[in-house]
Amino acid sequence: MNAPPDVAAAVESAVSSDRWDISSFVATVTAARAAGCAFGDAEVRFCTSLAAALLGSGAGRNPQLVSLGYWLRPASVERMRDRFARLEDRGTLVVPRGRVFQVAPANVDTLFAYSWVLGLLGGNASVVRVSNRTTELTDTLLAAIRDVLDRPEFAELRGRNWLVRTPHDDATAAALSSIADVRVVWGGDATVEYFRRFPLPPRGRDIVFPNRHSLAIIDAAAIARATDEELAGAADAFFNDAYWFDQGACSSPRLVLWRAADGDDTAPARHRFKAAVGAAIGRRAYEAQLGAAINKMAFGLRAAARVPGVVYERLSNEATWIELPDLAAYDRDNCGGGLFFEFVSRDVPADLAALVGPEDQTAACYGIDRDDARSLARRLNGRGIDRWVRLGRALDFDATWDGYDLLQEFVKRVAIEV
Amino acid sequence: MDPGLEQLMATEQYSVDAPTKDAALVAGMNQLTAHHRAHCPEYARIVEAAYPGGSEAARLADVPYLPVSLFKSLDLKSVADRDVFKVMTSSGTTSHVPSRIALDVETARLQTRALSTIVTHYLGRSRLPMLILDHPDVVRDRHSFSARGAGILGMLSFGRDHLYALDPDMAVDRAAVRAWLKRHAGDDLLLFGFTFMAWEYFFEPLAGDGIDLSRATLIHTGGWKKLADRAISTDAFRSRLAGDFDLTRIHNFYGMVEQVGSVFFECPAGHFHPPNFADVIVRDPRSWEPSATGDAGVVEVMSLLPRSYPGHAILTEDLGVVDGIDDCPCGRKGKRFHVIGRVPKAEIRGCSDTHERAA
Repeated sequence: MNAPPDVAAAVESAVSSDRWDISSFVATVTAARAAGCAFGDAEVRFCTSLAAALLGSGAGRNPQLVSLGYWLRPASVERMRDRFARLEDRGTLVVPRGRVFQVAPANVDTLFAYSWVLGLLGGNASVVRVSNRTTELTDTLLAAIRDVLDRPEFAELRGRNWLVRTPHDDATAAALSSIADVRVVWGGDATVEYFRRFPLPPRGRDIVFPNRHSLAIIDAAAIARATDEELAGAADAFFNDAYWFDQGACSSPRLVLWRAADGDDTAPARHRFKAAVGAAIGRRAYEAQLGAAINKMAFGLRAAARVPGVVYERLSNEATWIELPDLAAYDRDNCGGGLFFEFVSRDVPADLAALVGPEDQTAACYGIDRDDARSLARRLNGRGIDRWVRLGRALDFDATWDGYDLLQEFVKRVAIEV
Repeated sequence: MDPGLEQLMATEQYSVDAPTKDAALVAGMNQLTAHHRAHCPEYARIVEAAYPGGSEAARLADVPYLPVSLFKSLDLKSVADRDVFKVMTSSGTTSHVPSRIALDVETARLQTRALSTIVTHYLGRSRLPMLILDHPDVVRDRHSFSARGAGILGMLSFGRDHLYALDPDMAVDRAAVRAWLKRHAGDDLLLFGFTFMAWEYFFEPLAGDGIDLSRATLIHTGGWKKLADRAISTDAFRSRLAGDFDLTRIHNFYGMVEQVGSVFFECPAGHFHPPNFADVIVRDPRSWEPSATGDAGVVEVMSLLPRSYPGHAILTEDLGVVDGIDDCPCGRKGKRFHVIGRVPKAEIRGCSDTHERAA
């Protein structure tokens, strides 16, 4: 009988393998133990072992892997465990939900690992459909995961975790959905719509990540008074948020809202910031593909065609800035790759209230303090913007994401009132 | 008609040297920019946003240009809806959204006349028996002018006794072709088709049939991508047609639905040449200034024909090289250039792409 890819070959591709057989794979998954223990010793040890592997020399010095390694290091996992422990008391036990089926995004190479680890820490069994698009980074990460999982001490985890590449067909989607207590769908609207066609068991639950849009809110005066060093830091932070995934990550800013007082001339500060971002682009030797550069011309000019008073500034192939005369004309559709819309706001609370909708996810802030952010979030009252972070932190994944607390989503509570 | 354009059309094609032509084109282009600013509000806003210093160009390279994909995402026209005589569409390759090019009677006439000056330069004034290497359904629906249908319709008037060589299943009608060739034995002939389809559905199937096309001129267009995918070079294409059919008079041309009529024919020396009323600029893909002769860049096409839509200066998604100016061995003046292929599609990373789309 065809052997489905097992956990030892956790990331073997089933796509090109004629041995792949979805029904025997499903049989393997359903025969396996459906759960371990939330924040069990093996689960926690696995995280710290993987952290050591990623932060050691083995996996290279890729910043994405280092970030993941940092997130998995003992102190960080301990914090998650503490937060998790507070969910329990004498009258409440927290237990795994069971089987988790995760659909990972193709291009944010490390995201599947965060999402999978949160399910694993919840004590669940997991099937993770890894993208069929291989990148060096994904392969490095998968190899590191396999090395750690292959250790005898993690044999039990190995028996209920599968990271697989599967054919992208209806039969596979239907079969894996049919046995999922929790289904996690990354990858945007089209993927979410696709998987919604395949039912979960009656008590199954969906965690979905549709398309999102993000912005930066920058205080113009803070940029004006920043020292050169502070300015360079802000530009580097902006670069990280915007360019790490070619501005294609859902939390990468596409709109920059400049906070300005009435009557302030923001032109010098904005000019200063854009020049600093240009320098940051140069420091990182980031180069836009030619196709992206042409797309940005077309998107930018299309925006200019819609309303009078737009200013189109193509500073380089890497950065195009489109200043909008008012936010009513703003279209979130953006080709990415360094196309920024900007608007000078004399009344941020009112402008945000008018603009923000459910697709808005992250506000990366500079010169905006926690109280400002709290009051803005309070005013928006859930209409949109699920994360307020400092500029440079837009891409930092955490267990609280898109309004979900993923640690809680992967567990359920048992009431004990005896 | 603009006297400058009139003169450029009336003058023998390819006889104007580059400095003379540049001066005439700059004047004509500036007039068109002003015309479209006055009549196409979207275009006016684009120019105001992107060229705050003004749109009067001192040299051709300074004329405001639009990326070709804007004709897919915007309805750009400089005439009232009631004056739109027909709308040309093309799917292009970057998306499934077609370009929509609105033509009024005047622009459509200019296109026809322009194409005529080019084709008669190569074929003379007499109309030759014409074999179309395609099937007739492509032009049957006169309301949907696809690029393919429009290309054929545009060429029909240069021939007579037309025969479509293929049936709707793209199978060559051998009996009809043979009868037609027999009827025109000893005549000069005109063959027209799209490069890949002509190769795949006409020349390949008939390669062993011993057909003599030594009196024919083949005009073809449509790009090399599909043939390049099969590792068939322009040289292999020419030598196969010479070997199998004795067909040696072959003119490829480069053109697009966004600038119909303003096409770039390949001369006997194998170079594309702009006609008098059009030009090409190859732009360096980082500075966007004109590339040096011999250096590759992004092809911009310019034409004095578009009056009903602001398409007089268009940045294509093709890569090309200007090989020389006023120096072609064939004797034609102005630039000579070749096209390398498409700009690779941008691969943007990001979150919304799990369900790999068939784009």
